Amino acid sequence: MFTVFRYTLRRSRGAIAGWGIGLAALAIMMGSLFDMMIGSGDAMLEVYMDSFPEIAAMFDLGGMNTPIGWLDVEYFSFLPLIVGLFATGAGAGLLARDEERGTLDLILAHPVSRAGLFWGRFLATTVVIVLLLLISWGALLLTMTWSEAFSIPAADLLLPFTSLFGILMFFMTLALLFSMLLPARSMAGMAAGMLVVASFFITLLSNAVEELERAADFSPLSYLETAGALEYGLNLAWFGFFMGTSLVLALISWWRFERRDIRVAGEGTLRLKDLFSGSRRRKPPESAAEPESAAAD
Amino acid sequence: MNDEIVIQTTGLTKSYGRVRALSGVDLEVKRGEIFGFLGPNGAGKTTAIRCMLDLIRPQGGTIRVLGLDPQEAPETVKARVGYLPGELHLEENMTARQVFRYLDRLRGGRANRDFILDLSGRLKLELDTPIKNFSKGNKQKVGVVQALMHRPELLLLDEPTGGLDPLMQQEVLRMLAEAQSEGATVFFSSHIISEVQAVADRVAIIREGLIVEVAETAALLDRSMRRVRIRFREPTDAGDLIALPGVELLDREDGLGLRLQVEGEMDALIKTLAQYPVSDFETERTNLEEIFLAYYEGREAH
Repeated sequence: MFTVFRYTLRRSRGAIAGWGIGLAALAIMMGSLFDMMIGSGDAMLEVYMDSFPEIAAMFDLGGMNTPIGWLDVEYFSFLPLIVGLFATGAGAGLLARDEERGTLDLILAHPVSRAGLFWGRFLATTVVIVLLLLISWGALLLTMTWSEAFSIPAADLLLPFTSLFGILMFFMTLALLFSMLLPARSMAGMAAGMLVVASFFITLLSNAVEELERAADFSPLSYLETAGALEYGLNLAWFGFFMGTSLVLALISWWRFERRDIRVAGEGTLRLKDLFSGSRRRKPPESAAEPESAAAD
Repeated sequence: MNDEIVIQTTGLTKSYGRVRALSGVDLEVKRGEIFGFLGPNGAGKTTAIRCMLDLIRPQGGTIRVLGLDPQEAPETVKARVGYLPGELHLEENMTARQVFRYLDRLRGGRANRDFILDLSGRLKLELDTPIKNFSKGNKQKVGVVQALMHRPELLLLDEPTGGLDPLMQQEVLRMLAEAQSEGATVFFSSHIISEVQAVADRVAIIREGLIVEVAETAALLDRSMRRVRIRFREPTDAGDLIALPGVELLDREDGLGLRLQVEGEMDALIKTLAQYPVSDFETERTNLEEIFLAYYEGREAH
């Protein structure tokens, strides 16, 4: 499992570098802009809130004159969408990418267990997500070294990222499970990605549209704690719920992976009726003795 | 299971939805032999091999590989097996050297570096070129080396010479023979009959998911039919030749020649032929390809 873990991390270097640079740039830009916003005074904010009350409610603009309020509106409102899509892509491709490319066949012909492969890759992908969040966190801390007004204690700033980590793990494992159930990685990634986007918009719009408040209760991103985590501390029940759910989703995915055939190109696709039946050896039906004309190589 | 039996499948069945890939495959491969698994595309060769490695699970029947059930002890089986997939796909950004290192680490570092270099050198494989720049043949060479590099007890090779030029095909077949001489058992699938005929001790022919013939390659060839061409000095009917059991007339040539197909021993034909004035006599044995085609076309070889 360690070889798989190390190899998967090594293979993710490009993703860590690419996404890390982008996320760091976003964090530095948003942190730096806080000084400009404070410099312009509260007048502009009040005018904006008077002119566009719905937008102000949607983004909770009232708290923007504090560093965490600013991050809440300008950074943590969009960051979950960006890294959420990364997490779903990573989850959907965890095993299905290599399966579709045909490289999984050769790897699993070596003395590595399916469990070892699954958990090795799962842990490596989790580490990649943690690294990207740490890069974002570190970039915000870096901004504080030159900013005059933008300052949040490092440990406090870690709390919103911890909350986000729980939700990202949920989306990642959901995409992983989809990839074990659906015939194609693209379908799994798309289905999970659509849930991220839907969750993002439902959460955002529920601040302004009353009818969406009920739906927002079922939206994972509604439970992202940013300013609230700093003010009241991290809600461990919510964090525990997402981590626990992620673990359950991962265990179901693993169970599926242990039981399913490793596909190669042209060797059939999964069917709904096969999803939970598995393909463990069963006594052949009597008719199995009669060959059919169609056969697969 | 007998220690001398390395692969044993009994009543192996596997379907993909409504498509039956294996319809009750019974097979035994003995230790130390080169076993050719012959069949056209879609006959079930790849499916059978992938069942042996627990990459796919059969719906019925039993499999024993090296005395073990691949589903019960997959890692133990795979540690002792070298495998070359029929559809080989490698990490495109890695070099051949990196692929070998990675796959060797998955095996716990058992491969001998000098042996890898030797195999690669014989196949003229560039070790430090990214896989993405390789041709299909060069990728196949990587597949062959990785299957052989840890000197496995059993080699499961799915179309091992696919994509290779004739010289490299010969080199790979030599490598298989060497592996056999060192004690390995080689099970390889192919639809190229000449290579099976060249190296296999025994051969199985699979047709639509069923084994239709298992025999020693030499015996299969021995009991195969011969084609006989006779040239007489004068026109003759030669009705008693054609009436012999196992003899079939294929063609008459300008009243002086006959083309016959003879199944079984030639003794009766030669003794009967001694009564005629013969100017020329040629005999030619059918090859494995014709036997194979006979099974597939449901008729005798012509």
